[in-house]
Amino acid sequence: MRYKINFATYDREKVLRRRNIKLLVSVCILLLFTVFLMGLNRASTLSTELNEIKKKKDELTLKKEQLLKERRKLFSDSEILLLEAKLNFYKNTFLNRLYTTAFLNNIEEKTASGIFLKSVDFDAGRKQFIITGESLNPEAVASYIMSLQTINYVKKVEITRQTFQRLGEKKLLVSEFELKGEIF
Amino acid sequence: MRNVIILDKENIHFLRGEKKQSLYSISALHTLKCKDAPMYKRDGSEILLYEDCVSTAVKLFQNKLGIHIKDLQLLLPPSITWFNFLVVEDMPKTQKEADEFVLWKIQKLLPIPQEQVIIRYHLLAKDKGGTKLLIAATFDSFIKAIESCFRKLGILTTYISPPTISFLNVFENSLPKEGVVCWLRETSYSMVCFHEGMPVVIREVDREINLNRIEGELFSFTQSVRETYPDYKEETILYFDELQRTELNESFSKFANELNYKKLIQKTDSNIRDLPMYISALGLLE
Repeated sequence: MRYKINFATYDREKVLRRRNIKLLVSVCILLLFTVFLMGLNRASTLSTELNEIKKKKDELTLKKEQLLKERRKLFSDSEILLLEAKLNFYKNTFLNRLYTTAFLNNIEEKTASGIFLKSVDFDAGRKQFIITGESLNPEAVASYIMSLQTINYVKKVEITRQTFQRLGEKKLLVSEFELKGEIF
Repeated sequence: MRNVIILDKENIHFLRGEKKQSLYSISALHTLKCKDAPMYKRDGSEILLYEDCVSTAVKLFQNKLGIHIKDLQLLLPPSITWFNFLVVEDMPKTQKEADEFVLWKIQKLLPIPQEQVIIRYHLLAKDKGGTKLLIAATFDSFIKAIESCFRKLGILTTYISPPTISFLNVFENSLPKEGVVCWLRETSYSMVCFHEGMPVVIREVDREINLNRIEGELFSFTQSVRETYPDYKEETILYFDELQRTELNESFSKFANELNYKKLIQKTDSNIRDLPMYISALGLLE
């Protein structure tokens, strides 16, 4: 049997506990310091990038002003406005023509043999169209409407007017109709 | 590295223990002195430590070896510790309460004023008869002075033990179940009586033993033991002389056996000088 009599007041467990706490605190401080340094580095990088962007923006602004000055030497502001208006006009006209041609092509495809078109009014600016026509078979108008609705850019088509007349010796029943539609 | 310092009356002895391939090599540096000044002095009911002497000697030692000791185990000087044995029915569960309880039980038996005492106890056995405790007491101020002195040098004193306890630990495998163990030193001696396999009386005497009267000393000691323990049967007497005196062997050999320290050499550096002088320090090294 070993006899243990120790008068030392030194508490190894307490010292170890204190040492561990100190170590933990040191690690935490080191971690915080590292995070702080990384943040500082990131902030520095961002600041540099921001300065570069500001510099580029200033350069572009300067360039724009220079170009404006050069342009003013050639055209006045009112002339520029007029040119822009003309450009818009030609652009719209061109687009209107393009859309109208495409629309008429589609209408031609969808118009069945029992339908006689009298007029097609297409307004690309208002995004609407009006079709008037005649048919010997009233049911053909309904199927024509359904056929028009299958066109992918047609939003809706509705009948706004339909009248019936008996004509000729055989007194054929003729239906006159008006359709109004909207496009996307 | 474990460092052991023996604080003697006149100087401090250093034993440096170093673990190498599970063996301890020990070198003794007992030649270091501090201008031959004592390390401590009894002053009435107090013991004063000469901190300057201890500090100087420790610094000298460290400079000579070129090392810095971080923590050490220290043996107290002989004869400043008092031992008692106590049997109690129930021990308080908390350490603080147990300390107070033990102190209250033995305070009348102590030669040290209660406010100056520091006690430690070792649980010897616990059975139906109660809990058997070995109690050691010494001067609190002296322990604090030692700890403070070494702390100032940046050294932690992790273990401070009475030399007799350490001596018993050295020979833990040779101790008798019934009998007496004598440890004879140059200027002092200790006697420990074992009964039913446990130490029941420890006496540390701070004077040189008269070799011619050694038999009488032993007789008087065992008589006092029998007064407390009537069923004590002296079977074995073992002794150890740190000076290894031949005349002692002649007078003792008739009725006592010498404790063999040579077995301990295998645990140490074989070149160690004066191992018997530092035998108690080996008790700290394991």
